[in-house]
Amino acid sequence: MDDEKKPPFEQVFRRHRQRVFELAYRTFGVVSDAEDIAQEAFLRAYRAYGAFRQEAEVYSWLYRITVNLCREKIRKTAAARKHMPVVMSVDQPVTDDEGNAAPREIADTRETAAPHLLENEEVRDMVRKAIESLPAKYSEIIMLRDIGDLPFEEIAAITGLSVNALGVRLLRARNMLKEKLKNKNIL
Amino acid sequence: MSCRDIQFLLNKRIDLPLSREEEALVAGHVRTCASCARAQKDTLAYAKLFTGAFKGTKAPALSPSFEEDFYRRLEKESRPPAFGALAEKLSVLFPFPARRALAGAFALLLVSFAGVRVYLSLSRDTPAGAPSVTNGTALIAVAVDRNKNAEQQYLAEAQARDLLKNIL
Repeated sequence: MDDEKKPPFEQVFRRHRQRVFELAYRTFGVVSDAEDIAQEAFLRAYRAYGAFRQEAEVYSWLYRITVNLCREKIRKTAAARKHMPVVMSVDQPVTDDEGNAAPREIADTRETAAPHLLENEEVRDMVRKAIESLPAKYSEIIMLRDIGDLPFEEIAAITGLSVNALGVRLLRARNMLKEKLKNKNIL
Repeated sequence: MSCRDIQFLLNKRIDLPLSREEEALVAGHVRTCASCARAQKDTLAYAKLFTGAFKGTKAPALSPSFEEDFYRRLEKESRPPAFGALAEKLSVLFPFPARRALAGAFALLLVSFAGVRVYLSLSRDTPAGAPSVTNGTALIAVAVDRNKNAEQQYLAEAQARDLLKNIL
């Protein structure tokens, strides 16, 4: 498709922003993280839009960018946690210069995830890491289907697979993931 | 039906309801196959986990400032750096194809000229007796480029001595 038939970028942005955001939100469960990823996805898309020839549908291309960004974020978060020093216990009282102990007060500046997600957050985190540890072609498919809840036809368009081949790949991906989750006692 | 076929159906059941015949096949098979019965249990747990933790999550609407924030980021990113902006403005002076390159070179000259002017004006303010290098090229030629020319080496040594004298 030539450039004249290509919709203006603003139109692409308006049409797909909510769905791109939803995919990121389902992955992380925090609005600010999801919005940040959605914006970054559109920025990357904008930079490459001139060269985009529409051999694939725009949304396929956008989801692929979003999935890659989500995977990057999972990787970075896991790496940051690995290097984060455990400094203190929140239950440990603070002692002033004269040796008087007082309860430690810590301001919680984190944005809170939706309450129904909060109880699952630890599990979600482990699941995200397990997904990320799969080979890229499998983690992509799990993110699109089991997190993003995208229909088979759309995932087939995004990945360039036939619906049958997609079913086979999904089965393999889920089996690999199930093994990992069992090893972590999540299943 | 083979275990492989049953596992394919179990996987399919995560995404779509099975037909009555398919359900009957699965039920009949898992009654006699411990491995597929285990696979069925794992698959159900997997489906439940994802529905509870991810799929079932209803995403809220985007915040009202999302679009504005995005265009702000986009504008910030597309803004050319100061030097680029100067080159862009100067390009109107050169009405032929290589004008951007020429304008860039011209802008570079202007920036260099301004830099030399600033350097000279600052040098004039240097107090008497402060360390200064009269001919830095000799020091650089010997210290950095390892020039073995005797005259250059002598000059560099004299300059270094002067510098040390002023510093110490």
